Amino acid sequence: MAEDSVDVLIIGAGASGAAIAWSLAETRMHIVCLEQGDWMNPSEYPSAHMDWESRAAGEFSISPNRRGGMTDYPINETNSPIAVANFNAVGGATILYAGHFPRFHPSDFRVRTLDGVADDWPIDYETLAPYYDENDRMMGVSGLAGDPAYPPKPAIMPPLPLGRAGTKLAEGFNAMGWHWWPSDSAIATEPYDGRDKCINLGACTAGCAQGAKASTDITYWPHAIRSGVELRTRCRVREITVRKDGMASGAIYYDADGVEQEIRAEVVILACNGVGTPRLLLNSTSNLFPDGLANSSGLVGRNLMFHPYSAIRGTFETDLDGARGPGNCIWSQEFYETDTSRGFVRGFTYEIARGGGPVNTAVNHMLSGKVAWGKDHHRSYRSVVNRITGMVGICEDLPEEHNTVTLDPELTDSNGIPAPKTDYTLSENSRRMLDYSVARATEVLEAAGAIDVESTAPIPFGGWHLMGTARMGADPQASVVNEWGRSHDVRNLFIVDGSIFVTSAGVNPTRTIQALALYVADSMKQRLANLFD
Amino acid sequence: MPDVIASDSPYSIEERDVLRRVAGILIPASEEYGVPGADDETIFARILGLASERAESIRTEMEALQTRAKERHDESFLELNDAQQTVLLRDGETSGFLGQMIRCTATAYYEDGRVLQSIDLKSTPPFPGGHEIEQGDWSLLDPVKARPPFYRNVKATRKRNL
Repeated sequence: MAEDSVDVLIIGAGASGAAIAWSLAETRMHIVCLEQGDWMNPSEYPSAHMDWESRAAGEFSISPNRRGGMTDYPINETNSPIAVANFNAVGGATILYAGHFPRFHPSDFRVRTLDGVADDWPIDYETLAPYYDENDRMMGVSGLAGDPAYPPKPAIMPPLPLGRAGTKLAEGFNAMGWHWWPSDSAIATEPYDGRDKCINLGACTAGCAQGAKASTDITYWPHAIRSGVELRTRCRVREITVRKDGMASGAIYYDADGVEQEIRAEVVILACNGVGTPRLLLNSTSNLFPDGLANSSGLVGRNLMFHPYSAIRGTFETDLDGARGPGNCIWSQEFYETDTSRGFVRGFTYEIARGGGPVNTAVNHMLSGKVAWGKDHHRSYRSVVNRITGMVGICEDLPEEHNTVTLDPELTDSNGIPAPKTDYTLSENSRRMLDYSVARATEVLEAAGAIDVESTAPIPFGGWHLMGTARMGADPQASVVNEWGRSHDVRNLFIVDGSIFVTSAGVNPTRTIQALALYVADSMKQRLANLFD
Repeated sequence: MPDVIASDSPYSIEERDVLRRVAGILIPASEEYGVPGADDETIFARILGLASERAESIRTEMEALQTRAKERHDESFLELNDAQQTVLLRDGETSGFLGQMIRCTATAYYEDGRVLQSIDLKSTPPFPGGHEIEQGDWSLLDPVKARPPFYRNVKATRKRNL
């Protein structure tokens, strides 16, 4: 077999892997990306079928344990109140994300200095700002400039429509005198970079058949591949290999036929998310690195952060948008910055979830008893269907070393690779923040005219954001990678996914993950002559 | 046309009759709203498909339902009158069966184009047609636009790293 040797090996073709592949392509280095999933076929997305809600809950479920597909790996999450959500494909979790696309705030990088908790980041908002801008152009972001909750930032496309639900909730926020603003969304509201505009399918979180939502299989990857990056699918990496001098030498992976393969590389970049990356590092043991690769700090897999979510829904007396249109609509950051009088530090964002589908509305409300079965069913059902809207509170999760990703001693994937195990406890600060978010959202909904309000906190299946398990920092004893993503221990190993987050902020992380990937890529390009010094 | 061939079904004819009867109780037809019941042939075929994916547990719970029917009325479930069947389904001891049947029945029912039309939704998949969403009242944003910036100023603490 011919030796498989490349300049740069990227593992993972999701949000960050796509971004760094595209950015590094201009170096003309030989770049290969290994992805354990497949290319997606948009015609197979649920919204192209009558049973779209069933498909979204099944083969397109956010839970890898529920999907149980050939490209998935299982996760032991019996010791966590929040279950992991992910997706394995070209595009990664951007295939199923909502496309909520907030930036971090300047204060999010200075948590220790401002609030005396967690740690400051080794970089700041101004460092990332140009990479946010570059990523916005590549992904295509809709929104509205002028949000007083943020420093000035550009808006590329007009915002998504308010619709009836957004109008109703905006009235509620205005009645309370609280901030709201059209959400920044990675959803095209105009034709953009070969993608057509949103036509309000309403099933964004099960894949966008229209191609309006910016998943990286249709944003970064076509550009990266045209620039010469090679993307190999159905390649599941087992371990990073190392040379005698402690540098990474490449990876061993299983191809689509389950055959073990080896690839050699001068540089290895991990982009496997906050669970997949520590799993791979911990699986990469050797005489030189008996506790896992890049783990001299002992922090690989520690400080797992999720974002505890609350969900608050109100039922109204008039028809709203129901399942029509993207869930994304407006957000509120009235309670984003720390105010200790609230009983917790840091804060959260409200993101409006426009409405629910007819099947989920029926099943959930019949099971709870709020919708009758029998002769009263039709009247009862019509009092809720298309009449529910609400929001989620996305709460900042602070890093705690006892929240971990480790290797399960028994569970493996279909290739026999040890699977991850999550151990996670909801902190008192998070609990208080969740309760506060439910109480304030209830006030908004009631001010907007809701006749019934219900809530869930935390959302048990809502581990969409996987962060902190290979944190960045200047101190090798207190972090896994340095301030530009390079491993302290292995100088040709880089990490660009949510693992490197120092803190989680109170917003969705994808825009920041991608900005960080572009920033790491630029840092590498500026140092190509002495990258490993 | 039903996509479940009877001979492929994990359920006996009597069991299928029970499932269909229960579906019809849970969501009956309505002249007022112009909709079929969940025991409609097409909808029930979909229910049977969904129920077949979890046949083992549903059959076990159906046996418990039949046992209750025998204990209380000395008759099978299908031999009971409407009121007796409804009471039995509401019984907490058969809640597992009821929950499974609600999931299958409501799912199949609200995937049916005739039903969706009756609640002002499209009778086709969301794609490719999409939906119309009104812009809404953007003047509501005026008071928020008038608000001064309120994010925290961290410049005094900022460090440059590049």
